[in-house]
Amino acid sequence: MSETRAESAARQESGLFSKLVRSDLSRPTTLISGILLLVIAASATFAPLIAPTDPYDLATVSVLDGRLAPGEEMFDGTIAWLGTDGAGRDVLSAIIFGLRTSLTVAISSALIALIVGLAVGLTAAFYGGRIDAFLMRIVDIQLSFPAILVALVLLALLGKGVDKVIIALAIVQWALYARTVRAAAMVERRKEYFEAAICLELSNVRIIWKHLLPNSVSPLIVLATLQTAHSISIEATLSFLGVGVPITEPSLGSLISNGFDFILSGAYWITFFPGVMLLATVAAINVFGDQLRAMVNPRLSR
Amino acid sequence: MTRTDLLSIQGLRTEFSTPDGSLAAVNGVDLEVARGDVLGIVGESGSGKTVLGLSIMGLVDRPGRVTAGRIAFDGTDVTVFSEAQWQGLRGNRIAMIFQDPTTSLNPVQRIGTQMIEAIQAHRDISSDAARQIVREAMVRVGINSPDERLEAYPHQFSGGMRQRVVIAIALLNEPDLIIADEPTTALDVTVQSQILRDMRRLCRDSGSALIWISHDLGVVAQIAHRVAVMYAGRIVEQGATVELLKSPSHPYTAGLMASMPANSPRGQRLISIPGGLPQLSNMPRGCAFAPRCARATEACETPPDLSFTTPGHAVRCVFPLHVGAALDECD
Amino acid sequence: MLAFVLRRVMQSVVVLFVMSLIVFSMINLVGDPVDMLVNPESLPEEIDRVRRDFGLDQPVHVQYWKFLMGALSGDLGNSFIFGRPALALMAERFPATLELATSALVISVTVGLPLGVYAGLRPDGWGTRIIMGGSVLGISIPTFWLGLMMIIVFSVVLGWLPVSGRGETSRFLGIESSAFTLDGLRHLVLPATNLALFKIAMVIRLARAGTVEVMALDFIRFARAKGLAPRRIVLAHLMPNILIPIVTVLGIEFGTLIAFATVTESIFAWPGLGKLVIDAIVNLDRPIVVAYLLFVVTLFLVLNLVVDIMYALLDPRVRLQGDET
Repeated sequence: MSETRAESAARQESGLFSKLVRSDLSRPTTLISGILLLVIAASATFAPLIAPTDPYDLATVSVLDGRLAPGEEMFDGTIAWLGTDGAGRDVLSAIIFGLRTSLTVAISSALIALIVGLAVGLTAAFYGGRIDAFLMRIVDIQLSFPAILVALVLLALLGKGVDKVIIALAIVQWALYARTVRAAAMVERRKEYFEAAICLELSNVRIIWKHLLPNSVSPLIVLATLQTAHSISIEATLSFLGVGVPITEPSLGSLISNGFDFILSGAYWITFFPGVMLLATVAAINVFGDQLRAMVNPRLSR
Repeated sequence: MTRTDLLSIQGLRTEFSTPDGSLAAVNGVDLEVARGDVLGIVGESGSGKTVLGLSIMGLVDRPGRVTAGRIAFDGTDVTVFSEAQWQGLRGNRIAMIFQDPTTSLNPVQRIGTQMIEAIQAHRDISSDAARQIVREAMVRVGINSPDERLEAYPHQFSGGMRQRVVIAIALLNEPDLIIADEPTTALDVTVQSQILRDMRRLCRDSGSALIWISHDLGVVAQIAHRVAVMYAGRIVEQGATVELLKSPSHPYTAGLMASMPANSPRGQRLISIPGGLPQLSNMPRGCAFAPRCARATEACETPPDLSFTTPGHAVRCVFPLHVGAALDECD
Repeated sequence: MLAFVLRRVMQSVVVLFVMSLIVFSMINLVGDPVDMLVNPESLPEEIDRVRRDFGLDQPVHVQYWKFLMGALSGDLGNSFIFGRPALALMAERFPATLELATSALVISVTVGLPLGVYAGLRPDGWGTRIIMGGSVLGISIPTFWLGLMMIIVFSVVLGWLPVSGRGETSRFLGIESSAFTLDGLRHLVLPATNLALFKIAMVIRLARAGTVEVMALDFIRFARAKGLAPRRIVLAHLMPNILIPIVTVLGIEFGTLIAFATVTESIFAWPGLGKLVIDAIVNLDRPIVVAYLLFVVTLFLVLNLVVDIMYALLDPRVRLQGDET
């Protein structure tokens, strides 16, 4: 019986993606967001190969190139298509590397939060009763506070750094995953075969892994997609406020923050282009995630 | 017929566009209602009787649409009406009462407000004057101490009381026609018969014509002068109540009558018509009732036309019941 | 009704107590607070003296008791930077934040509600597509970046509006606000719009969903059968029914407005609570951070409570049930 469950869950998954591919082609917005996402992911992964210059190589970055407008030529002959910042770094290269940091932070924190949330959600659904009530109470309280605020306070205590931001974002997000996993697993728990599995004295781990987990996969994928967009946004905000990633390892948020000082002098490009990248990334993920959600739960898309 | 028709419907077709194509919920309906007449429309849920009522009110919403036919109300074709023209008609000359009294009233607005606005939508009248009319209307439908009741919210009323309020609202502007869509179905049996009695009296007093839509032939028999039986979007039999009940011509009507508890011998199981309504997307080519009909033959695979057994009693069936008996009476 | 309020208040007190425990352990368990208070090169005797002075040599439960008593009497310590009571500093800054958040709330409802209702009434219109597309964009645009863009466009390029600060304030009905002077209003427009933007998108979505849901209900159909004009149906029948959930959500979201004000205040140098706490975080001014935290927790609990009561007042069904019990 457990095999058929796993199989049907697997079928559901492949169904989800084939449906996605089909609707991708039928709706231009989804198609565009999908392509945009691929381009973004590729640029982030292959940043050192794609970027025209290495913004971290102090040997090539020269203050003499500072604040060049978009399209102007830098000292070494490369054209700064999106201009340069105050320190003479090519904005385009900085964006590509910044994207890398932003995505790393968002995806690693999503993964950690997903694992913790999965563990808590499945535990709550499996044991039920008081354990469930206690865990969900914590989830409720945590979720009643805005994510940005919780992250802000955590970073105030933890200090700056990429690792600290990842930890803070994971703490901010786990509760949402826990709630989603529990809700999906509870549906399965109420079915009769679950009682049967308990009676057969199958091991708890086996029951959780084979029976409760597969049902949670679809909603989790959707949540993880949308949450990644959200955490990219939060990380950027934190970095802008000066409590996120340090300027030595800039993300899109810190690049925008960096350009803030030049706004009044008219050097808009230092802030503008990283922001456009940030917006494009978040919007692409959101549109894509909405499409995923509509497929997992068609009722919501209306 | 010598009486002037208040409502005359010819070849009405109301379709709903769905991903599977266009489905006709009402499919070529002809109806006549004279002033002061009470017409009962009987059919199972899904037979198209509610959509028919909504079509007459101009309340069919997308994806639904009246695609063919004519609805003449007092001599004017209303299918071509603009939204503003409809507004002048609805609630004023034609009123409608819906099935579920618990959901017909706005839960967060006082009863009084909901009644007064129905008057003020059609008459330039002060709130005080409107309130006086409302008070009288409340008393007429049997609600005592109206002043107190007008300040209440719907949830403070019982189901029967709420339906009385809805009926009072329908009667406020003394309409020529009231369409009542299963107004007693959601109520207790005792309340049901009270409301039925009241409705009959109120319509007689005001001279309003009434279209009473129901799935229950028994209820319709108590109130209607004439009955139309609907099946899968078409009217399959139509005639004076007494005659139709005495000698039903369509096997479906006969089946409906046989399945009424009052007509079954005590201690025996109720007779029911086998099967269910055909899917709109998968209609039989000929008579829609044929798959459930014991008398069906190959001849039923072509759509039957409406034929008259006696003047005023029409049936849409290739092998009508009692046709000989009916003809005898005619002679 | 009274029993309901009392029960909710009791619940809130318990949560507040638990939060005070968490806040206390966060300050005391993450690192030694003494490190914050003394010069790292101080002599051991000096460190011991500071430890005694601040009561840090006592058992943890005694320290917590003192912290709790202090908090209850309004003493949350002095700011390291300003050398003044944290609570007094917050009280000074709070009105500016409240003004910003309230303006943003007003903007989001006045803009979002009509757009959302329109989108709900005409689900297939191209106007709806533009509105919904805009709301996806509104949810995706990082607020702070949009704030910067607004500065570039309206202040730097067009030169219409000032870049930062609160401008001239004046007193009206005992409330000091920038909304009562032209200069103040000019300062308020950009930050308030910026803060409202995310909420506009949210109000649009809520109003649209509510409209679609309510318009399908029987009483709307009955209202149409009464021959009411569309305007009357929308204003008298649709609106009161969709406002209930929107008010509920907005009430709870008022807290997030105050939280998000930290970002907006930093961009526009708005002298409110948010800017105070961001500066405190950057400068490791812990008493301010702690005070802000407890303040926000209290605020959220109170808001939740108020929203529940408001909900009961708006919906006659809930209200009257409460009266009967």
